[in-house]
Amino acid sequence: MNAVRRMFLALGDSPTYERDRANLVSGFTIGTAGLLLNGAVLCFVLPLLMNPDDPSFRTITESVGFGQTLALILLGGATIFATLLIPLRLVSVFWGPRIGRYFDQIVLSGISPMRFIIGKAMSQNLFLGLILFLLLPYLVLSITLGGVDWWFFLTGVFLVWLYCMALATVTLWVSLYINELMAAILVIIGAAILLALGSTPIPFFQPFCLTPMPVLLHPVYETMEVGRVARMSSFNVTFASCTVGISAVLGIALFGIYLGPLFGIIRDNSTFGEVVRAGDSKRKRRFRLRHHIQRPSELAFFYENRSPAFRGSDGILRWGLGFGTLAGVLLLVHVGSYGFFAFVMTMGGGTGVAEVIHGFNLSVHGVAMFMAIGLFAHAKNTMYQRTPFLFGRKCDVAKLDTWCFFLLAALSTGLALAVPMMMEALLFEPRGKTVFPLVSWNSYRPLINFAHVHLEGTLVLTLAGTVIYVGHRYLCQRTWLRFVAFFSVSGAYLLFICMVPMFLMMMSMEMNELQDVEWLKEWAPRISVVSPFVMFGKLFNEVPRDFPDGVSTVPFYAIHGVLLLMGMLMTRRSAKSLRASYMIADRTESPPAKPAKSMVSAIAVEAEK
Amino acid sequence: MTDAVVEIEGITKTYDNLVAVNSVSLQVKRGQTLGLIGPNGAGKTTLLRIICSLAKPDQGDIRINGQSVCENPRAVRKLLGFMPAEFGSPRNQDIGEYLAYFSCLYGIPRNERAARIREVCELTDLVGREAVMVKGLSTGNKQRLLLAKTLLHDPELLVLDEPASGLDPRARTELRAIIRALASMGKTIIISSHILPDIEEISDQIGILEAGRLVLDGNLGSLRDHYGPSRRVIKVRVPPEDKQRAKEILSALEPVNAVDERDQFLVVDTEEQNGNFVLQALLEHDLRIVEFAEDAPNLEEIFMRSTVGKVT
Repeated sequence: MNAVRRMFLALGDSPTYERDRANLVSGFTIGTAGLLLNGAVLCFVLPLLMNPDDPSFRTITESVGFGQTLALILLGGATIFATLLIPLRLVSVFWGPRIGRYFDQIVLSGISPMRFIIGKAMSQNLFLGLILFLLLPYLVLSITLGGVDWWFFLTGVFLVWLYCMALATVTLWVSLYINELMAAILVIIGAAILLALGSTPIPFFQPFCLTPMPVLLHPVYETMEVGRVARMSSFNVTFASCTVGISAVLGIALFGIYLGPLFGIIRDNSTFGEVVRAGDSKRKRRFRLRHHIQRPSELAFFYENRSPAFRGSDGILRWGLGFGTLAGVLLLVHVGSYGFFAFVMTMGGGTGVAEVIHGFNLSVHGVAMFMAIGLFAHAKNTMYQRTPFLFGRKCDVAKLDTWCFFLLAALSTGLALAVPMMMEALLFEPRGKTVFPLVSWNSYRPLINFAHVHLEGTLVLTLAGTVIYVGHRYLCQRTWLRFVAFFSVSGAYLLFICMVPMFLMMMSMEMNELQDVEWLKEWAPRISVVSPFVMFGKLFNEVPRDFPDGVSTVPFYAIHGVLLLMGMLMTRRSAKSLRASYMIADRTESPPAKPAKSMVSAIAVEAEK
Repeated sequence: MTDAVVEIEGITKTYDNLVAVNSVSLQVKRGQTLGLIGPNGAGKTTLLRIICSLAKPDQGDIRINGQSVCENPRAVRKLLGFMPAEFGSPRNQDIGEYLAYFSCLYGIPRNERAARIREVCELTDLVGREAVMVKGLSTGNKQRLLLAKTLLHDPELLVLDEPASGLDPRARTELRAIIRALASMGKTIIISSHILPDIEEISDQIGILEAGRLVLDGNLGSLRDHYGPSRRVIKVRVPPEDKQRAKEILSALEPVNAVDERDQFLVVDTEEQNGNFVLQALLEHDLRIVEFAEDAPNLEEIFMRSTVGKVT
């Protein structure tokens, strides 16, 4: 109860809310908003008034009613107007204090980030109220010109309000990570795409229920031919799904704001960001891509104000969220692909579908491994920092990264192996078909065995991903920026493991000058299988005509095994000295200057100088 | 239990290779005013920011009412009011809105805000100016407003960074009076300034910082003792054309430690309690004496003697 009371108190008593309210309720703002809004509404109505005999328009007005159509235009206009203006109105949430040079004062006041930021979102209620107030004459007009369906109108107003709140909260959440103007532009673009997608008539169920558009356009589609053909879900179902969808976004954004930015790792004795070892601040500054929240007082504002529960479980929240999001998306993609291919199979799909399934499955696995490599690693300044994982229990950042990567690699590999097998058992076999067919693409090459593609392809991707990850982690111990390590290792792997052996093989087979060199002819294909590209070429029979059939794939596994072992040993060795430096540099960022023996002697020394 | 409100223990702060504050230790007792003086770049503002938990020390800790600034910054912030050297404010606000904004930030209950704002306005002489826009305020009034904002949540410890910077003599006098009034209310105050007479007048304790180090610390009496318990300063003004000759004559005298030129004066540093020997020496050489004064060394003398003008 206390928490609820505190929340309501915070919502109603935020300095940003008070300030926005003072700014909003001015003649200039109301006048400008009124002018723009009326302009927008007129732009909607004018083409219709210019051509009142337009058949589509006549169909709508005849079946929905003119008053109802006008109400729809009003709410649609308000939604679009809010989409364009609300994110832009929030741009000054951090800029204002920065430019006005009073961010330190905000930090010192002890206000919580949630209470400070949420006022900005709450003040959008006033803005929406202003929009609706300015639309009042049109509402009177629509009631007069045929009346409105009040259930439709009130649910529409409710959803527009919910959407505005979600829009504001999401903008504020994104603003924690990137420049506020950029955040506003991104949110506007994202919202515009969702509005467009939500405006399309989709059969059975409209999945883009994150804007009020599906509800606002429902009466129109219901009366039109397209709606009847598409078998639209009922108005109440559409309204409920939109309410749930927008509320979910709002809830996630609120939780994101509560957590604050998640890019800093805090050392034991400091809450001022991620600088943890001697000289880090200086070295990192040279190359660092600056985060939006990056000044010590800004970091302090967010990190110090987190609840003890969060501070004690930083690890599970941070890595858990990263892992959970990636694993969730992965599961969703696989579930979605299963649903899609099930639909395709009901439409009579055959062997061609099996090929697409394997291609898609391996691509998803590859992308998942690639993202896990990038996500679960930290540069040398934080790698061996001990961070509270769960209920205050501490764990190395490096250990968390390793566990998350291997868990995700295992999950992705497992899914990549299991999903086609499930499809085989549930979708293909009952129809007398198989997802693992033997297919011939070229008459001069042996048949492609998709069971082989399925197993070995997955294994190749897992092994290649693990080798890159180990290399990435090794380089992370030597660099200040993980993306430098990531791109260096990925680039080196692409060049030396993927490309060079493949080019060697291709040159030996395609260049006339080299075709007569016997040893090259014999060894180039054997060496080339070191490359995952050649491995996949071999699996899918996409290798040159002269590529021998029985080339062993052992070199691939041998080289990758050696690389993996070497990488692990080197990482382990290098970790020892890095860990030791963490122990030494517990509190000291730079070596302190020698203190003077006494004040009097200090003065004497200076005087002598 | 110690009576000290602020306990600074071996604070060191470095910015890359620059040692901004070097092993500074200090204590400020309840109700006392500590004046921090030092040349530009001495580390005064850095030290004040560390006290306010706005910067993190590399070594050492600060306790305010027993609470560690490093370990529990949120608790410490409730106890202190920080007046920064730089005035910052949201755009397009008048004085009333500015104070209302900050009282909301400080979490002062809604029903108490108006009374609290009135109270601080009275204390800083801003009553009746609530509708004046902040942007158009003079430097003096901006400093008053900043101080009013600092007092809004009635902090126990006030940390004032260069509050008299850029003020005219009248505004400075008024600000001194306000600070004295706050001290009489039992507030503990830490103030940094370049204006030595102000610090001399309002401080119970003075700390002289140079190149990040605390070179002297104590009340004015103890600083004088450090300078030399029996030392006197004699100021002599002679016509400009005789200044060099007079300096040579005085430098040659037995009881004189040093003769410095400052403005139009020759400042004689001596341990001789009676300054008549200076007069006698100048008159013997038929030099005209325009002005003559003798005194114990003031803060400026102590500051000049204890610092060498080194900045970090």
